[in-house]
Amino acid sequence: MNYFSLIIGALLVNNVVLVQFLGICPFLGVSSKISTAVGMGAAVMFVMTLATLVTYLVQVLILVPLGIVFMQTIAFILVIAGLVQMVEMVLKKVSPALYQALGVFLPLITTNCAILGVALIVVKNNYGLVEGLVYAIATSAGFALALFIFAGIRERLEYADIPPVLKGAPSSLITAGLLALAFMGFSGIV
Amino acid sequence: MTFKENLTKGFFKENPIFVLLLGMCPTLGVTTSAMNGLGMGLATTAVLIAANVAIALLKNLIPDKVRIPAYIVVIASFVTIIDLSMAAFVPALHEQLGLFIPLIVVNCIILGRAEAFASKNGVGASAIDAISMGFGFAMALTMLGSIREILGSGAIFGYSFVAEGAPTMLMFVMPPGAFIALGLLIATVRAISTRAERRAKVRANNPIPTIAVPAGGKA
Amino acid sequence: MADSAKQSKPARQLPSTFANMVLVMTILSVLSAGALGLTYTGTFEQIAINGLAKQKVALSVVLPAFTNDPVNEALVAAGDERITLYPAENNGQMVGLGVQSYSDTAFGGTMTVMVGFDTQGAIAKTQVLVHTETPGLGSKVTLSSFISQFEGLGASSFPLAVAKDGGEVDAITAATISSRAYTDAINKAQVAAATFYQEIQ
Repeated sequence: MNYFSLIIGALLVNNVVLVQFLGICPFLGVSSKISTAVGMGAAVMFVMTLATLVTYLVQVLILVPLGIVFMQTIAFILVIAGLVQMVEMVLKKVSPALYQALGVFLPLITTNCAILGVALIVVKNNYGLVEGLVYAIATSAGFALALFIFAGIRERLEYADIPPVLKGAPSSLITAGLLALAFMGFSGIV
Repeated sequence: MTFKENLTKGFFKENPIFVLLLGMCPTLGVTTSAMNGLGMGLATTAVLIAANVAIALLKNLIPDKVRIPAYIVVIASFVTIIDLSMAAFVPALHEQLGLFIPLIVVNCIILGRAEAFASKNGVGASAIDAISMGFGFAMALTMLGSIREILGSGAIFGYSFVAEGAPTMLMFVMPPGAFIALGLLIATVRAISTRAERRAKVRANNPIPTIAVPAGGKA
Repeated sequence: MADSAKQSKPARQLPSTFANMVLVMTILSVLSAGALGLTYTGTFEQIAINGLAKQKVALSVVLPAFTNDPVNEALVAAGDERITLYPAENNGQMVGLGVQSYSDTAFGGTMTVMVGFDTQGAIAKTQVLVHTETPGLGSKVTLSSFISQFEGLGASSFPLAVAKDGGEVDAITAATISSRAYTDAINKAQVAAATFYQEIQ
C-alpha cells in the first residue's frame, strides 16, 4: 500500500469534511474562532486515532470471530462514546482551560460522524492495522486543517457587511462550498 | 404545546435543517438526487419515531447518569434494524445511501430529540414530535436533493429532462455545490419566513375592523 | 405553612446507583443484541439473494445471451480464490466466460469488476460491480466512455497498462489511480480466463 498516496488522499484529495461530508456539525459549530478550532482539531485527531485502533481490534478480535458483525454499529459507537468520556475526564485534569473553551462541543465529538465514519471506512476497505491508523491520523489532520482554514476565514468574515438573510449558517455554508471548490484542485495529485 | 403545534413545528418553525442546523452530514452527503434525499429522510424518520417512542417508554427506568449511553444503545439498535431491513428489501437504495445509513446513529437530530423531548414527555407527544421532526427533515432533504438533481443532472426523481450527455451544472452534484445549494436554500427559507412573520405582525397591529367604527374613531 | 405540593421531578426515575446503572445497561444490551440477532436471521438470506441478483444482472450485460445459470455453476479461479468464474452456455454450447475480478489498489479500497470474455478469450464487455471511488472523479470508471475502450481486446493486447505506465489504456483525467485499478482488475481477469480456457481444451 502506497502510504504517500494514502496520506495525501486522506488529507487533501478526499478531505473528510470538504469532500466526504463527515464532521460537518462540529465544523460549522466550532469554527468561529481559531483558538477553539485548533483545540477541537487536536481533540478530534486524538479521539479518531484511538477510536480507529480500538474499533479495529474489536472488529478483528471480537465481532468477526464470533460472527456478530451485525453488532458493528452498536459496538463501535459505544467504544467511541466511552473514549470521549475518558478524553473529557483526562482533559479536565490536564488542561482545564481547554476543557472550558471546548465546552459542550467535547461530548459532541461522540456524535461527530467523522469518527464513526472513519472507523467504518477502515473496516469496509479491508485496511490492515497500520494502514488504518495512518488513514485515521491523515484523515483527522485533514479535519483539523479544514477547520483551521475555515476558522481563519470566518474570523475575517466577522467584519464583512453581510445581508441579514445570509448571516450565520448560509454564509458559512457558501464559504465552505468555495473552500471545497478550492480543495477540488488537489484531485490531480494522486 | 398543542397537538397541532407539535405536529407542524418540524416543517418550518423548528425545521431540523433550516432552523436548528442539525443533521448536516447526511443532508450534504446523500442529496445528489431527490430519491436519495427522500429515502434517507424516511429511514431517519423511522429510526426517530422508534427511538423517541422507546425512550419515552423507558425514561423512568434509565438512571440519569447513564442516559446518554443508554439512548445510544437504543438508537443504534434501531439503526441496525433499519440498515438490515433496507439491505434486504430495498437493496438499490441501500447501496446508494451506503455509509450514511449506519451514520444515522450519530445524526444529532435523533439524540437531540431524545434528550430534549422524549426524555421529558409522554409516548404520544414524543411520537408526534418524531413524526414532525422526521418529516420536516425528509422534506428538507428532498428539496435539496431535487435542486441538486435538477441543476446537476438535468433530472428529477430519475426522470431526465435534458438530452443525453447535455452539459449540466455538474458542480451541484459535487461537494462544493452541496454546500452552496444548502446555504442558498437556508437563506431563501429564512427570507420567506421572515417576510411571512413581518406580514403577520403588521396584520396583528392593524386589525381589520369588524364593526363599523363611529366617525372619528381610533385609527 | 405555604407548602408547595408540586413535585420538581418525577420521583419515579431510577436513582443512579452503580448497581442500577450496570443492571440497566446490561439488560438494554442483551435486549438489543437479541432484537438484532432476530433481525439478522430474518434478513440475511434475502441480503445474500440480493447480492447474487447483482451478479446475474452484470453477467447478462457483459456476456452474449446464455440459457444456463452461470451463478449456480460458478467456479473459483485456480490461481486466485477471490476471482470467480461464471461459464455461460447457450443450449449446451459454451458462449463465453464471466469473470468477477477485483483490485485492491483502487483509490477507495477494493474495486470489484465483472468481465465478459468470448470463447476466443477476447473481452466482450466489462462492468464495475462495486466501487468506492470519489464521486465525480474515480466514479467515472462506470461510464461507458471509459469502459468501451476495453471491448474486443484480444489476448495479444495483455497485460494492459494506462498510458502513464507506458500502455494503451486511456485513463480518466485526474483519476489515474482508479483507472489503474480497473486495468489491474481486468488483467487479473484475463489471466484467470486464459487459464480456464486452457484447462478445458
